Amino acid sequence: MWDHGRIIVEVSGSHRADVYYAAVPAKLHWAQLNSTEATDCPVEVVFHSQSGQTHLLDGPSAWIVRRLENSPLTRLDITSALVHEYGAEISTDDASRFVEHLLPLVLRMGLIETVRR
Amino acid sequence: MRLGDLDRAEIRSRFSGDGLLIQTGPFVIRLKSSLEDIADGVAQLYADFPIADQGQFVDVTLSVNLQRGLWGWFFPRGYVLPRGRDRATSELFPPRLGLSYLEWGLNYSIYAWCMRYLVLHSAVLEREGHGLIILGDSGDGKSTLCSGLALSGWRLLSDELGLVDLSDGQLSPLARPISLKNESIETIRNFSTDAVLTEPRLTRRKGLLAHLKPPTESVELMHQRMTPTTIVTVKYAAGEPLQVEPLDPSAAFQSLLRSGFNYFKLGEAGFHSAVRLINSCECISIRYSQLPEVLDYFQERIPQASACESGT
Repeated sequence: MWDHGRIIVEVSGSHRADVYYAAVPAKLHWAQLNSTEATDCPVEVVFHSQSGQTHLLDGPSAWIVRRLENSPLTRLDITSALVHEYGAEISTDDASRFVEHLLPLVLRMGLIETVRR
Repeated sequence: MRLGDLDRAEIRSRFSGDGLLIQTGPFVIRLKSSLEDIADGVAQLYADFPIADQGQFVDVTLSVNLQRGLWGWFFPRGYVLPRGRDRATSELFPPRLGLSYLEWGLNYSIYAWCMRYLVLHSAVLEREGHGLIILGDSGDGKSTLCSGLALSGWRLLSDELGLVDLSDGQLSPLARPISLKNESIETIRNFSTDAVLTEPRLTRRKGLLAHLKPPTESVELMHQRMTPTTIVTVKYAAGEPLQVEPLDPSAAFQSLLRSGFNYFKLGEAGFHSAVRLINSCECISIRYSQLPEVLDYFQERIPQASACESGT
């Protein structure tokens, strides 16, 4: 299971109609930190050149932001893609909750942006 | 020519004149001051450093002066002027603390303006090809450990500023004096008879402060860069036994960024440099209370060096 401990933002409204997309790809610079025996999950770090901030993301969170670099998606699309990618490890309900918690967080970081469809 | 080859009168004359040019690692620094106390302190701490020629390009110019005017005559105060600071915003200090402020000014001048390097608030040492970067906040025992290692045969690259070359990740030495505070002054004085320390001075912010002269061998190797192999976060924990644990790379990365004086100025280059550093090093955390205990630990990590020592 994933560690959801860092993701504590409550979602106040529905984002079903919103389309999410990554900040312009040129603004995001990715790297992976070597995993050790103690870290079962690789950690990705991303530098957002517009804000100058550096963020650490767990594997699935990084995967979602990277996925949004390729194409804009709705929350439901993201959930489906996540289940498709990590299907063996996570149920659809868990994926949905994960995405619901993650999106406001990465929005606030400036890594993704959103527009109402 | 080394600074130690000049007599005190000549050093004071250069200090109060055009400035004294000293080579420290990759930088040529010009020091100017009218405070005799500083000239004597610099003569003691930087005795092994080469003097640069007057015609050489100067990377850092720093002047430490006395406040003028009637007020300054009654209440003498010094101020330090690194590049980018002006007289109006300079902090005033008692002249007896001039050496400490000069060291601070040099640190500031390097981390604020030198963008060829990711500058880390760290101690850096090397032995037998093992390059240590020691991270820790003020009061965490970083300089005490650094002094103990430097006085035990490790090559000192820096006590305060780790210079990570952005082009290749190598660490450049500075080999400047080590700043020690409060109990650590006595700890190091008792630890080694080789320790050359300035007279401790009482400061308002940090308590007692003294400087340890860098080992001559470290100064002589100030142009020899080093490949980092281990990143250590250190914490002094009074009364506790030595604890050494592997450090999660993400935790090490966060410590590294917190220690990066100019990380945010460097942008993408700083990011890639930090990632490369973390991925190329073993990361450990150390809690210690007894200096000999932690020094033994590092001695055991370098078996070849220990064997060489016991054979001589």
